[in-house]
Amino acid sequence: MSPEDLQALWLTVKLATSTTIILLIIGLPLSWWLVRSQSIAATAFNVLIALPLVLPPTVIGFYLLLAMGPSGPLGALTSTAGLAPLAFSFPGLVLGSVIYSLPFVVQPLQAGFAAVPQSVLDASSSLGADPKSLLLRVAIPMSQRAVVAAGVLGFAHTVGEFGVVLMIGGNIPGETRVASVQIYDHVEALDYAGAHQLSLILVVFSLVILTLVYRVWGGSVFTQSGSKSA
Amino acid sequence: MAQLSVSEVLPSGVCIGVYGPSGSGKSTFLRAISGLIRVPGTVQINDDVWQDDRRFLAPHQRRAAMVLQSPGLLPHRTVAGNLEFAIRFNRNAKAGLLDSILQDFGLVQLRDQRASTLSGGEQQRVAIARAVAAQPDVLLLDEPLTGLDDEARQALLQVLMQLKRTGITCIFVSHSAYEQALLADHLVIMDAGAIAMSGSSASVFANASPTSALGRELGVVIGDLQVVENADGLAIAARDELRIQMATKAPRGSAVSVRVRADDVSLTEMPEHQSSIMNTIPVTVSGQSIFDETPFSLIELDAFGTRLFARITNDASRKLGLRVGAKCHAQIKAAAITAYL
Repeated sequence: MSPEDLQALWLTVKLATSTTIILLIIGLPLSWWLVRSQSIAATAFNVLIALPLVLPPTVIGFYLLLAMGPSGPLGALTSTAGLAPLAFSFPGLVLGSVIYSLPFVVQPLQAGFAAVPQSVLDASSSLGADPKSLLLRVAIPMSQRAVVAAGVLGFAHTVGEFGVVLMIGGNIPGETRVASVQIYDHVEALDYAGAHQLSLILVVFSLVILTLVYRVWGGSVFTQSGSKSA
Repeated sequence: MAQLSVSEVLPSGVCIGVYGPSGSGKSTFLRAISGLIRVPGTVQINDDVWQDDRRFLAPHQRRAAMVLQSPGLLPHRTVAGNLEFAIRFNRNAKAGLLDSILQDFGLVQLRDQRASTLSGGEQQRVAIARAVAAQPDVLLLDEPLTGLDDEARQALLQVLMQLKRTGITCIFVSHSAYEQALLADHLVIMDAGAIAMSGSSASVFANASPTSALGRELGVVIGDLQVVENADGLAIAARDELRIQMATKAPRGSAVSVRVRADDVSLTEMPEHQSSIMNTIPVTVSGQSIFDETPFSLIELDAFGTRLFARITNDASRKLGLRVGAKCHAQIKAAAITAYL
């Protein structure tokens, strides 16, 4: 394997790890709110979060690219804050991945949180648990399996990302050239052996992740409770 | 959810029973006190206003602790871990509270067991202990014994009776007259979201209208009886000249209370010796209520200074020529008497 291949793999792991951490930090309170709230805003958020499931990644990438551009809202934000533009940068990739993988984290979390019995929440709040403690000390510990499933799926989905990356990140070695883009480059250059090597690594990685998911969660990550209730 | 229309000042430091048929608003009443639901009005406990026209404290800001029919324990924590959860939010908790609660509730041996591995009765015992560990101003119990098997229910009744003696203020919702007779010092009867009756437990049991929710449970609770004989569970308990035979495990010399329902008392002019009914008590009629809406009369009786009620048909009342001052004999099946320690 060439140093470029290794660099692309390392960048992929870095991107997937940062994305997963951010996704969990955002996803846990967001999913909790979505499960508990009956407001119209919650419904709207559910629809928005699910968009990446149905839209072509290139569409999301395209609009993100426009938003990050000099005349886009994100571009305006970064230039007034004195930061480098997000387009064609690693932080830009992380932002794109977070949006693109959000439903894969939020949906298992919602399923897990929804399965926490109301009686446990009622009893806990009557004992003095404020809303933050309800999330941190009741809902999350009772949904451990859903939390792990959400993290694994968020990570795996980010590793498999291609369209969004290419649209907003381009193909800069060490900065935005992740494994999926590197494979594309190998194929473009008719270097099928190089493409095979990297592809095989991704296939094995995906098989391991999916086997883990099916062994631990019975394959019903999106519907199962994520916890045994008392 | 039932509409709630309640305006009542209730005593503190006692167990307040809330009784009524399902849908009468008992649980709604309790949830409104806890703040789990929001109904317009005022909730005040001692000097603390929990809600009025201007403010509404969330459940975690109210010093109330709730035990529901479903124990609601944290399944991933141990018994001690569940108690620690309550103690964490109890600002007045002193060191050693955990151990003394484990001791008081007989949970020392279960201390390190995960909540999800406990039986239903054990879980509810932990749930009650956990609520007490919060040291609330009022303990709210919503049908805590419903759905448990009889053995677990009896064991937890003992726990609640002990708890009651500590002087904690508790509100105990149950549709079981048996549990209410045992636990409630003050009894509130709810019907259609409103309070139909409220008063000391003994007076409510004696004075409830036969058409009310408590109708079939109407009767008396006779306290301070002394067990004078007990042969293999069939005992005789006495107070002055009143002697009642019943089934109880209470040993000789111990004090018991009994509940006698009006439906379980029949009247006869002459004592019958060839009857399976073992309790034949000479009584004097001290009152009579005929309710037009039912074919039954309620007869108030005096048995050696103790009040009893009998519900008999209007026809029987006429045949026996019952009027105030008439003497007759009350018959009570020993099997119909519920004895409490």
